[in-house]
Amino acid sequence: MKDLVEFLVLELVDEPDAVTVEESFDDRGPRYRVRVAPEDMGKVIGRGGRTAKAIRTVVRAAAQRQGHGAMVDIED
Amino acid sequence: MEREPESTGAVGEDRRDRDPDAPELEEQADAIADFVEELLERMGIDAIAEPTTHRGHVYVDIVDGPDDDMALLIGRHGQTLDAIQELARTSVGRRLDDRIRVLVDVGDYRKRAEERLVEQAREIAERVQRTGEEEQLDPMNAYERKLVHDVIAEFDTLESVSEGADPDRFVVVRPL
Repeated sequence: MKDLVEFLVLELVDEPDAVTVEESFDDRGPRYRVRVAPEDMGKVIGRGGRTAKAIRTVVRAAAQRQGHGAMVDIED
Repeated sequence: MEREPESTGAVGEDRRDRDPDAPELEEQADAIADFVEELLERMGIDAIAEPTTHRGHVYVDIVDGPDDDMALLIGRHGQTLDAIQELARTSVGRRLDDRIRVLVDVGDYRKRAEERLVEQAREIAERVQRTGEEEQLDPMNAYERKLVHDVIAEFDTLESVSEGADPDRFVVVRPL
């Protein structure tokens, strides 16, 4: 799951070295905290938040396959 | 109320399919398919992404996966499929430095919905011709509206316009 989040984010950014994805777990499933370079924030979030929403939808589908939820936070 | 620039009619669409840009379209299709296959692999889904072109769009169909995974990839009202398409377009478009018109599909789910829409537009056109009264279609996205405009453009006695604001923008079909 973490490599899915990393893949999706790395495909969007200009500065891959600045990307970090932190994974933690609670009873609802994994939670991913994504950090990117400030210049890449707009690309990962997208117009009206649609790219971030798409990332969450795909990650949740992958989690659903394993019978749990998933959260993705994009932090600045 | 104005006619949309997207409604170029069936002739323009055909010309684009035979465009000298076609190799570029194929390159885009291959890149989108690669992206989707990598995505599937990381989702743990064993399926294939087949690249082709369709109505001047890059068309990538996900096939040969287990039924429950195919349903999962479509999602409720196609929302997972829309998300995959959005990420594929944005990521690959960025890399190729190009605006890509792409449809990502699962087992022809979108294509079948598209065929039903074209059929429905034809039925409405015939009814408007017969009754002389205008009709509204349900709200739909720009791509679907273009499909409807293309159908109506085949009728000399009718016109179609889009009204309202996205996401509730809809097509009206009326006699000329």
